[in-house]
Amino acid sequence: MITNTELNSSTATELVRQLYGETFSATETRYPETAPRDSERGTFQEPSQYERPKLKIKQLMPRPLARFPIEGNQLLATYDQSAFTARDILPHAVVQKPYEMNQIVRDFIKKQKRQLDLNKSLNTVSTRISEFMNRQGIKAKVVIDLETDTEYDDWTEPRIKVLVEPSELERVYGLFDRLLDFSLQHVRKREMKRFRITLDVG
Amino acid sequence: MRQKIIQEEESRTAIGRAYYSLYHVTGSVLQKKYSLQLIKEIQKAYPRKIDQRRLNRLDKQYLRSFNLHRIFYMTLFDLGHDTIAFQFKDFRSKRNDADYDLNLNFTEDQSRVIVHQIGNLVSKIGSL
Repeated sequence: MITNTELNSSTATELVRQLYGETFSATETRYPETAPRDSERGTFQEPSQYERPKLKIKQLMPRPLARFPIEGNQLLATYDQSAFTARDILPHAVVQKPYEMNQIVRDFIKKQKRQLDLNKSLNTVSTRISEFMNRQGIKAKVVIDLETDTEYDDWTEPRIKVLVEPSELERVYGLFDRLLDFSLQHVRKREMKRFRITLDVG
Repeated sequence: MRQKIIQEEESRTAIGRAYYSLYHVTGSVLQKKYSLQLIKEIQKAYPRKIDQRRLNRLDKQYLRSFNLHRIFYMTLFDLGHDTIAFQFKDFRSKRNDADYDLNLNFTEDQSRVIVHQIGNLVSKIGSL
C-alpha cells in the first residue's frame, strides 16, 4: 500500500516529473480526487477495494453528431477546420455496396423460397468479386441481372455479371478459377446452385 | 500469313459452335463415367415425368425432352467440380448472348478469347 507521504515525497514527484513531464500528476492518475479514502489510516483505498461506477450504454456511445453540419454523407469542416466523412466516425453507418442490382432481380428474389439466404449469398459473392478485382488491379463493374434461358423458360436465375474492359477479358478469364474459389468461399452449396457468375465486356 | 478478318456474325457463330462442342463432350463424359449421377439429377429435376426404363437406358431421344444444359451443370456441381460447373454455365450464357442478343457487340478478339477458354474447359472435362 502506498501512503500519501510516500506518494507526495519530493523524490517520487521529481522522478515522475522527469519521466512524464510537468503536466503529469501521479496522485490524479492512480488515485483520483473522487477515490474513497481509508478514514482510519488516512490513505487512499486501492481501486480494487471500491466499486467503480458502471458506465451505461448511452455513456459509451459516441458523442452526438448533431453539432456537425452534414451534407449528403459528408461532414463539412468543423470548428477546427478539419473535414472528414461520417464513415471515419461510424464505420458501419454509410456503406455503399460495390455492385448494382436491378429491381427485376429484387422482385424475383422476393418471390423465392429462402429469399434471405439467396440475397445474402448474392451480396457476399458480389462483394468478394469486387474485392478480388481490386486486389488484382483490374477495373471491373459488378451488376446483378436476371437471366431466363432463351430456350428453357424453367431456368431463370440471378446472373452476376463481371463487366471488364475488352482488353482485360483474356486476363480475367485466366483468373476465373481463382476468382470463383475466392468469391464462393463459405457459401452454402445449395445456395451456389441458385445463381450464375459470368465474365462480360462492358 | 495474313489472318482473315472475321465478321461479327462469324464471331457469334464461333461462340455457339464452341459451346456445343463443350456440351457434347460433357454429355459424353457424364454418360460414360457418371451415368448414375446423371440419372439421379434428372430424377431430382423432373420428379413427375420420368419413364424410368428409358431413363435407365439413357435413351437419346428421351434425354432430349429434358433441359440437359441445366442437368449437366447440376451433375458437375454435385460431383464436386464447382468451378468447372460455374464455367460451364458462364459459357451457356455466352452462347445465349451470342445467338439471341443483338444489342451486344461481339468483336473478333472477344470471340477468340471465349472460344479459346471453351477449348480449355473441354480439355478439363475430357480428363474428368
